[in-house]
Amino acid sequence: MENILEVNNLTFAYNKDHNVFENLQFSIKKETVSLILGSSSCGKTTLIRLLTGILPSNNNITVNGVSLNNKTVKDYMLLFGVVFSDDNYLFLTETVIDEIAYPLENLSYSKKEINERIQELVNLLQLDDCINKRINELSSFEQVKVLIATSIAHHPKIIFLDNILEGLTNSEVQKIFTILNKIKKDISIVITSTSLDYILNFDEVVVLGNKKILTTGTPKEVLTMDNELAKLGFAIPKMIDLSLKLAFYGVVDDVITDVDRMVDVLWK
Amino acid sequence: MEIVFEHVSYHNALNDISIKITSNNITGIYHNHDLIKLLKNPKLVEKGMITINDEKYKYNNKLVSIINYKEPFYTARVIDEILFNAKIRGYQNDNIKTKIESLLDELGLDRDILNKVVHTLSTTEKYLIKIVANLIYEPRIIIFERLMDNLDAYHQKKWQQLIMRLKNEDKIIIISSNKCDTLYDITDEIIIVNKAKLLIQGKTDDVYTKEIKLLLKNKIDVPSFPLLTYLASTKKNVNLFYRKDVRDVIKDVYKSVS
Repeated sequence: MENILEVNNLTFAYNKDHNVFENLQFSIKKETVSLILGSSSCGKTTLIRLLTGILPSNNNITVNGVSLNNKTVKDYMLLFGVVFSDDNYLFLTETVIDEIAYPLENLSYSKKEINERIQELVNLLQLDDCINKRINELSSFEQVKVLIATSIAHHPKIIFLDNILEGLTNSEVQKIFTILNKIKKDISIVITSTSLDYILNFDEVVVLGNKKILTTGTPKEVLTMDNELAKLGFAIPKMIDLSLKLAFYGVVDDVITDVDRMVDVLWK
Repeated sequence: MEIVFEHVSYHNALNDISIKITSNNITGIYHNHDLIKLLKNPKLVEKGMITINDEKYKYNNKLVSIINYKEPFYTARVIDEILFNAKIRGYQNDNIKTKIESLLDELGLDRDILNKVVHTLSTTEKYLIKIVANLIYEPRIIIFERLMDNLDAYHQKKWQQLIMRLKNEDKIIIISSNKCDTLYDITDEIIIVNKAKLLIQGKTDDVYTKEIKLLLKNKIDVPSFPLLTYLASTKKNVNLFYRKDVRDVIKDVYKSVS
């Protein structure tokens, strides 16, 4: 599969004495939901700021093979959608409709185009129950769906969702992944997290730590490094921990996070 | 100390809820923010009453701390934020600096974080500083309105140790989370509201072992290991103990499949 995003030798520091990254090199494939996994303070949010042009990155990033050097703010807007986990950045308007319309208005979409696009997003993201609500009336789950809608409204190539799964129940997270797997055919998705909880839902994982990329691969490939991940401070989720240990003893031969399935596999 | 909700109704979110929350306990509230909304602003109560030690409950920012990692910071530097939180509550203590450093140590934070600018902090650091800023004035009621679910293992352990220390100081501690596994691990009591009605309040270990059928019937998430035990019994007639530690689960499973 082709790469949508390539990062080459990216080094960054907020001040001269302390690099956040040193010669970062990784890529994100098209039509995937990818995880950038990193422990606390390793620079996940900083990385997203660099990738989306909020911080300068000095010609180290290409999208669809084209360098982001000398791109304008509008170019960045058209390429990327982004949601940061910090509440200060989350919502800019008071209603769901206004929130989704906002980026489209900024890009001079007509009223007709905006209304059509909002309707498409309502169907895609199952927003029927909340489309007419005010932002402060939304549940956490509805907030996440509205944020995703806003980030993809303008048909970007990639969206970055910084720590967006925080605070959702397990069932809600699975619903979000159902939606993301529909979206990824047109828009590649990158999520950052400190948690391995939902790692099996991702297509690819990039592990960030100690100022560099520690490894990349499929979720199961990354989970073979469970001891190293634990040393880096990641809490291994219970069912993954159980699966890996049972696999060590030859009781199971796969990583199983669904409890029902685990029961069926253990006691056939 | 106890907080009592007596037949409380609010909006369409809470309907005739009666619960009691006591000190020396860590009380978990699963997937519901409205109970805490009312503790922040009891005037929103439409029917019923909230009392504290049999007196009408009024929000008092010196008594109550509400920790939400998504709340904004009000100052530029970490030390200023912590001192500001103390100052607006009229908290005075000659040893406040020592107290701050002690809390930082308890949470596994370097003391040089005090001079950092808040917008340079990571999400985890912001959360932990919020905790310090909200504990410095020694509140009696501590509410984790939005528990940060994805702390790394080191800071999670430090936070849990801090909570256990506070629990033994006759404080009311309430933790709101959407992650039942987290609540199962750390809370003594759990409150579950479903479709505006109280579904259950009880000892966490009892709720998540004896009431699983009720939870599943109401489509409430159940923590992984109790669910494993429950399904092993109901689906496969395999009897395991209810466990929290993965090593114990592995021993039980291994014995049963060998």
